[in-house]
Amino acid sequence: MISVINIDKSFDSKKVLNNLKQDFALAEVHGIIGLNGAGKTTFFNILSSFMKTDSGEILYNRKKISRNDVAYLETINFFYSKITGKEYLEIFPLTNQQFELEKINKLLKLPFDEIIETYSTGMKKKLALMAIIKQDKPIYIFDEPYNGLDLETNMALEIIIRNLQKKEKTIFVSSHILSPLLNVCDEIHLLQQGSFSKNYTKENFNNIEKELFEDFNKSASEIIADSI
Amino acid sequence: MIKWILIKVRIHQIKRQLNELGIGYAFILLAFLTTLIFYVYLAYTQKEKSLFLFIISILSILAIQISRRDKEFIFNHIDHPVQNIFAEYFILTLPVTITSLFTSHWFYFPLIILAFYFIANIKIRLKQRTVFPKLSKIISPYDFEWLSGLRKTYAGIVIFLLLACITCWIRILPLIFLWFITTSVASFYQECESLPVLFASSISPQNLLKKKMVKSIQFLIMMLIPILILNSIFNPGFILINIIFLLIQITILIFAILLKYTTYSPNETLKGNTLLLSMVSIGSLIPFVLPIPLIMCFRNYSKAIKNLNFYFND
Repeated sequence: MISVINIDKSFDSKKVLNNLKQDFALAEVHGIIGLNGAGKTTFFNILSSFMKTDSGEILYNRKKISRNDVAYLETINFFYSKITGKEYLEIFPLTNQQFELEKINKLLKLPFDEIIETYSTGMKKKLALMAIIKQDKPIYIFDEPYNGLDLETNMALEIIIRNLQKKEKTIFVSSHILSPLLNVCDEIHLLQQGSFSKNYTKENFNNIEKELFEDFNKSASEIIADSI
Repeated sequence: MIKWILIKVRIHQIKRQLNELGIGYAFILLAFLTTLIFYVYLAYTQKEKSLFLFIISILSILAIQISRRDKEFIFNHIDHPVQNIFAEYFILTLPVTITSLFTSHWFYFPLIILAFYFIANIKIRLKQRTVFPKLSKIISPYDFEWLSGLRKTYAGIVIFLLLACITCWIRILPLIFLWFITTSVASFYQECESLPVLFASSISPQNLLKKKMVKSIQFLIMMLIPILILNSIFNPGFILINIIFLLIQITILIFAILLKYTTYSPNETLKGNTLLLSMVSIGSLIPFVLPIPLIMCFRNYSKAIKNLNFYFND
């Protein structure tokens, strides 16, 4: 079990996470949804120990979660200038013994010997993804992994997530688009104003769109009809 | 009416950098700038040096204009882009360029202004290309600063190495070329890696700094030592000076590494460190300020550990 216990996090005077608490079952795929600014990335940064909390903690199997437990694919990936894709990957330790670079690259088709500045947005995302799956960790976080990916790589990412789940890894995925989460997640958690407000199991996935967007659709239709 | 957006942004950036540096460094910076302005003024009073300064000013601004990444954005989204870019170059270099007006070589000032205006019109951008794609067979990817830095500055480093090699029998001259190489290498440590890369590189701040320093010293010695040995063979009485020179170059490099991690912030390029690095590099040529880099290394080691602990501690 991963237990998020009463986490608060503020930036200057703005509270981003507000007494956040939630238990996450292990070996499942957890989707995290929420509007912009709901606190998804801050939650992931804390989960991966990239950021400290103001108060509260996260336990993994009843022990304080450590950076070594987590592989984290950030929303925006930063690459050191003038290094090649291959050099970037070699920085990360190969702990996933099944990982075969050449084989995976037949699928992702990256020009490894070129400097990363020559890569497109999608290619950079794929490279960062490869650095993540090269590592064997019990927890994987994918923050907005679908941004910038082409359709084929979207499919490949779904297969990767399912494969990690088969290996009993616990996976967190966020997305601004609901549909890819519906395909891969076992549970979806709604983050609103810094707190988890609702959890949806697979059986209730059909309700998500209805519950989330019913009111919005009504008011949006009215506003757009009046103003555009 | 022209909105001077770029210069306003630069003023904000300078203010922010000064705040980050703290009042102590800000005063050192001010003293350094005052000295620099004074030296530039003195150089403008001399015929040959003033021509050299004129050419260097124009070439530097030309290099900045060609390599700057925001050019496309400025030309597409800012009104009066040429005027904005020109104003940026003109105002930021003014404290130095204006000194020519108080000398007999005052005519360089309007020429510089004219050149800056023409340069501000240049829209071309160098295409990114991969040089030495197999460099990691010699240098480990863990030493990514060197991989990146060598790809950026190899032309200058090769030229200075060749010049040092050709002049290795002369007493002081090769050391000046080697000093330029150290200064280039010190500039490798201005870009901050991402947190995943930082954590993948090492297990603790102490371990990280030790690895970085040991590896960089090894590489620097490999670059400088052949010339210094040749120079010592040709000038046996110069051995001690060569040894001291090498130690000073190592100190400059260690200072650069520690400065990077003292001010480390993930994914940032530490442009504010450029001036401090330049000061320490130039200071190493002035005998009575020689101990300063060494003192700053000791001071910055504990500061770097403290800053890195912020990121390393779970």
